[in-house]
Amino acid sequence: MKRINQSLVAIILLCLLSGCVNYSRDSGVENLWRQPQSFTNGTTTNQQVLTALGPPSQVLAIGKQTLYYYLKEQVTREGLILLIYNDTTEISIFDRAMFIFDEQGILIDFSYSKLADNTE
Amino acid sequence: MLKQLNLLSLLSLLCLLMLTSCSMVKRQYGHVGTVKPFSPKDYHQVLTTMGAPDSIAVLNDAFIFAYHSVTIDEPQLGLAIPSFDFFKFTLGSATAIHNYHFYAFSLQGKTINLQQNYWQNALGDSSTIGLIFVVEETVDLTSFETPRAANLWGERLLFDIDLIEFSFQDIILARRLDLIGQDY
Repeated sequence: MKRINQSLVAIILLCLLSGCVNYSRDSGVENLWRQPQSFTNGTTTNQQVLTALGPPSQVLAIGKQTLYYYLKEQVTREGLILLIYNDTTEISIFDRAMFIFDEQGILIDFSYSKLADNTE
Repeated sequence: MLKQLNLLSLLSLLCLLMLTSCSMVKRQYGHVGTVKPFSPKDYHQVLTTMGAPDSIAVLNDAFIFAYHSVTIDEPQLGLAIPSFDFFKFTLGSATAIHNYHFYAFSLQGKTINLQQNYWQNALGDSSTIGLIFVVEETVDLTSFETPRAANLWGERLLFDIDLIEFSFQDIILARRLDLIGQDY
């Protein structure tokens, strides 16, 4: 009976032996657009956007309009390491902002990426 | 009763020794929010509903907003290797679920085409040998890990136009085997 108890205790201990892993990394521009900003369609200029957010990740020309595209990539990985079972989840979030200006450099429209309330 | 407990104990130990480190590896790239089907008249409505797009393509007479997210599930079965206590043999398979929205606009900003698609595809089955406390990927997912074009846009502008045909990174990392040892 003592031997069985020892075996059971050993099994439970082995099952409970665990570790956690966690890392994150970022790339791209700083997502300053998530801080309070006061951009208004029809009045804000491209210079004001550059001053507030810094240089964009990408600049595109759409006909006579100019588009500033900002991108920040955030990757997080969390994991639970057990002896008989492991679970890891890696989530890559692409936080984005885009601004469209007319020929005079006045803001026509802007938008930020929708943030996930919870992961899929 | 004693015999049953003994058997149970032995079976548990056997399972513990044979099945080492079964794993569930989950990955998610991007996020596309759930929206009700809608028919936008122009890109302003798309921006309001969907937010800033994942990628933008500009053509001669149109531009495109694309939204794309991928969720990958990779269950793995880990088996102990006799005589190699700290190593395991892992079998795994991965499935990717895609959520893709595509909106095309004229240069005046009016919607000319849209498509919303949701599909899944198998990424394959494979196996690895590795340490028991390490979660190894059994399926090659490097195609999902390429840097976003927007983050490389500025860097690419710095390349010498004469060398632009061959990516500097490809040459340095010797990914272009046809360039090695040959005159160009």
